[in-house]
Amino acid sequence: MFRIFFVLLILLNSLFAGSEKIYFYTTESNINNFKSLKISFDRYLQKFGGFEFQPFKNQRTFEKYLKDSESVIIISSWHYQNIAKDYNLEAKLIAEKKGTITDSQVLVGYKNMPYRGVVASAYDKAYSKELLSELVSSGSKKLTVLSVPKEIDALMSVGFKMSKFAIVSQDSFNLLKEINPFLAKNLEVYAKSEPKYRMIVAESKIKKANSRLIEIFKNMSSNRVGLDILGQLRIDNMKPVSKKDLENIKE
Amino acid sequence: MKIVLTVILLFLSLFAETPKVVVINSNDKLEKYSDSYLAFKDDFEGNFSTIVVSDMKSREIKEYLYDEYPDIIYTIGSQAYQYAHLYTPEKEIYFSSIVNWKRLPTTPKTFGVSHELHSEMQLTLIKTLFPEIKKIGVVYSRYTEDLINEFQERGKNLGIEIVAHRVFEGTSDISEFHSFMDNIEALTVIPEPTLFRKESLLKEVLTLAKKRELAIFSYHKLFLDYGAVLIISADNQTTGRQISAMISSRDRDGEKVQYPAGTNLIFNKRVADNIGLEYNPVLLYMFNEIVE
Repeated sequence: MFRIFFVLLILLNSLFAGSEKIYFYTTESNINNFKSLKISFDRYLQKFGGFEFQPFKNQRTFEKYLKDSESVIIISSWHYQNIAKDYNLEAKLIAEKKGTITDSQVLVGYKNMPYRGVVASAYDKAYSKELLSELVSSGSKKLTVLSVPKEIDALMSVGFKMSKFAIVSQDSFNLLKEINPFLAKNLEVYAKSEPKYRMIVAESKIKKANSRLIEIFKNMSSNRVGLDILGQLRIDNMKPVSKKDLENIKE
Repeated sequence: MKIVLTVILLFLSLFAETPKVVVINSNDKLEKYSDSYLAFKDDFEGNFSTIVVSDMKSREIKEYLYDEYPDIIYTIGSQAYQYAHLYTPEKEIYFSSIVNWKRLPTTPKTFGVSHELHSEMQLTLIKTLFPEIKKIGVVYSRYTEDLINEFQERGKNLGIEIVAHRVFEGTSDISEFHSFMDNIEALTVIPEPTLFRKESLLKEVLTLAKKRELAIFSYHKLFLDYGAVLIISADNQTTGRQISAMISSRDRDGEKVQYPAGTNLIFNKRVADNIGLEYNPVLLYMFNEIVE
């Protein structure tokens, strides 16, 4: 009798207990399947307790949820730099891929094209515009951004004349060179951005999140399932942010 | 003098006419049309008005177009295009979501985004996701001969051999598909009218491909029920944004009718695992939907 009562109590508790959320929104990683990402993350996090992964497609909605949040968040470093002060955020971990915590974006197009027409990009539109003004400064005024679902779409849209240029990560351009060297050989890099930090795991400085969560993310690359999920985010690992990098990110 | 000139220019810019834009949607109840429309609406920075053909009589559409007399018309679906072309052929008309646009009457001021993806775009995606596949079979007839030639040419750029099998109206049957399927690792199903008209043959072909554990690629999720492992289609939202970018950029040097710039990918992981098809797990992020 006591056992049944106990089981019922646990069940009720799990039904009404609010799970701790991990909020995800990134301008940089063109992930197309949030449903699959959420399922994978939730399944993985279940082993560690009542955690839930909550991805957002819309920046405004994401920021609305951030207010009064005790959650751990995953965002792009560019977005972090823009909002860290307003939301009292502190970067804890930084994404790593192929041993580097930074990545560069390139502006790619057919040879000898004037800076005019459409630029395909799989990044958030505001971020794309900012990148464009960094890459071609005043030339960006005559360029119109077309948002596409994937970086490979952006590259192919240049290759098959749907756009004049594409902004993609150097990694994606290298992938195209491997897969379709015939197409890639006609394209050239017009400009390359300064290395930018990859995505960041952060928490509120005031309302600290469950410290276990940071540990869970830090250890994700040590097992197969965790590695597969990181792969869906297009990264290999999450490592602690060094003091020096933290200062640089804040700048 | 300089100041006067600046003031005049500023004054003139205030009254400079911005082009009048009208969107004509064939039917706002159809998801593929509304996806393109909503994406256009979100992306386009100028003003525009909208009418829906399915809610209006021909006379009302004619009157509306004559009254408004827009500079630019974006038509979604073939009905909308036909009205715009009929009543205002002298205007800039953009179209999207039209199957086989080449049958449409056009003018030098016709622009648009085709419904069909570029063949090399499809093959590049297949190679990215399934790098081991080198021989792909495609069924064609006299109606799709040009498409097959293009697939074969484009395949060469990617080191993929396209094995074509021709079907004939009335005479083709399943027995001739056995030797064809001996030579291929995957089957790409294109909208092939001769094959589609004979539904029983189409089903037999798909069943045989499934029995032989071939990877089936197609363009519509309906084929998931017949064992397709990958569906590649145009992303309708991107198409809406693409039209918005074509209008906004005012770049008339580019291709007048473009291929869709965005793709939508559905991966049937269950089938891939069942037939032992190797895929790159690192690239799973690319799929819009994964069937587990």
